[in-house]
Formats: sequence, C-alpha cells, structure tokens
Amino acid sequence: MIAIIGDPDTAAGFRLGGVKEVYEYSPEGGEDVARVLDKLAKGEVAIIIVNERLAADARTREKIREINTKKKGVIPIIIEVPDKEGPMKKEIDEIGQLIKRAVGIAVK
Amino acid sequence: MPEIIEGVSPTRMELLWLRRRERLAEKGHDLLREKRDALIAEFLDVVSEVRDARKEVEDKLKEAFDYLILAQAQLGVEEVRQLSLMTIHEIPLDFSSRSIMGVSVPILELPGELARKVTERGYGFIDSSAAVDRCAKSFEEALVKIIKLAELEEAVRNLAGEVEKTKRRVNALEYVLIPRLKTTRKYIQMRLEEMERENFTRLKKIKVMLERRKG
Repeated sequence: MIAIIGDPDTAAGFRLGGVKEVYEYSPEGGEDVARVLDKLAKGEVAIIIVNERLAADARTREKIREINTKKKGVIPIIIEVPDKEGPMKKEIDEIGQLIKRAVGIAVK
Repeated sequence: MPEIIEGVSPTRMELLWLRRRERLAEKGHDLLREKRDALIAEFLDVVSEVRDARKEVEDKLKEAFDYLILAQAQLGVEEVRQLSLMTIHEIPLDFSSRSIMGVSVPILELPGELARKVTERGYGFIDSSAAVDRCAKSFEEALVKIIKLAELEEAVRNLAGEVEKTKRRVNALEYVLIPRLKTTRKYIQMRLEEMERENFTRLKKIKVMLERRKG
C-alpha cells in the first residue's frame, strides 16, 4: 500500500493518480505529520511519500530517522518528493552523505 | 607499538594458541576486505541509478504539477479536489526482498498496470476536462517512478550501513587486533628465549659448582 502526506495540492494530485491513503497537511502542522507517520509505520504501508517541505521540519525529520532506525523489515520505506514549487535546495544531501560515510570520499 | 594483550602468560601453549588466533584473524581480515570491496562496487552502482531515478521523478512530478495547476485554473481548486476524491482506489503493491551479500534490499512490484483508462478513473466527463485527465495520467506515471526510486533509495541506505559496518570490522582487525596479536606473540617468544638463556647460564653455573666440589 502507498500513503501520501503532503500539502493540499500534492494530495489532490496523487489522489487523481489513484492513491487511497492521502493525508493533507499544511507546512505548519509539524506535530501532526509526526503522529501520522507513527500511525502509518505501525500499519501495512509499504511506501510513505512525504513532501520535502513537510519532511524538512525538525520534528518530522527526527521522526523519519526514528522510524528508519527502528523498523525491522524493509517496510515502510519513507520517500521524500518535491511539491509543486519544485525540488528544494537541500542543506544535507542524504545520498551524498551516505557515499561519504561508506566510501570515505565524495563521489559525483 | 601496539600494546600486548593483557593476562597472557609466557608459555609455549599460549604461544601456539596465539599463532592460531593470528592466522584466523588474518584469514578473516582477507575475507572481510573482499566483502567490503564487493559491497562498495555494488553500492556505487546503485548510487548512480538512484541519482538518475531521482531526476526522473523530479521531472515527472514537475510535469504532473503543471497539469494540476492547469486543471485547477480551468475548473477551480475546489472542483479538482472534489474530482480527486472520486478517483481513489487501492493500489496493490507486492513487496519482497532480495539479498546482496547479506544485505536485504527491497523489491517493490506493481502487480497490475497503474495507469488506468480514462473511463476507469471514476470521475464523470461532464464536470471534468482534458487537463484533469492529463494530470491524473502524469501522477500515475510519477507514482510508478516513485515506487522505483523508493526501492533504490532503500537499497542504497541498507548497503551504506553494511559497507560501514564491514569497513569498521576490517579496520578493527587490521589496525587493532592483528597488531596486538603480533606484538603479544613476539613478547612471548622473547620471554621464552630469555628464559632459555637464563636456564642455560644457570646450568653452566651449576656445572662449575659441581666440578669444584669434586675437585
């Protein structure tokens, strides 16, 4: 199953795309996003799609990290996607950091 | 100079035991190093795939959002929202995992086609428009790409964790355990030799003393 947490536009778009589990949030609702994530992580959701802008919130980011470290199997996979304003300029490039830690040097 | 392992007594038994441990550690080190190299190669492969997949998702989503905005402009935000509520259905998704060198990596599969025919989407033709159709289609396509990306990103994360773990083990063996075993072994060897020399002089001395007593 796929779930979306996003702003109203993202939610409407993905609903048109056919997703059932859609949660609409404005960027101010950081706490709620964390709670929804918690709820979804306990269920049978395979992919949780989160708006980058929502995930950038400190508490949400913390929650995502917590779920990632706590999960036992391969699901849920939390993935961040850009919203209608396009990809955010990221302060931390997650993949880049992983490469740095794993290989020891940054690889382009 | 690495320190010696504490609590070893300089005996021949201990020396044999240490030699065996050292051989084992070296064998383990070689194996782990090979594992690390293979993992890194795999990791770098997946990383380049992730970069491409991420780009694709971003492009596709941008297109999808453009259509969404167009649809919203034609029909109004609230109308699009209403339409979107009619289209929901369950997306079936199979997941399993495969293992790359002991790292479990997810496989996500869509059993059916995600893209639906216009008539299958569930909203009426009268109150929707072509923009809505295009928008729905783009989001369906974007979803397929997102699922692929999710699979790859998860693989990268898991692989990176394993690479790190293996690297730490290789380094622990290479820079801590093996040097320690080596110095401890050398220490015992030297102690044993020293004891032998002591014994030798002791025997010499006794011999001289015995001869003097006779003579």
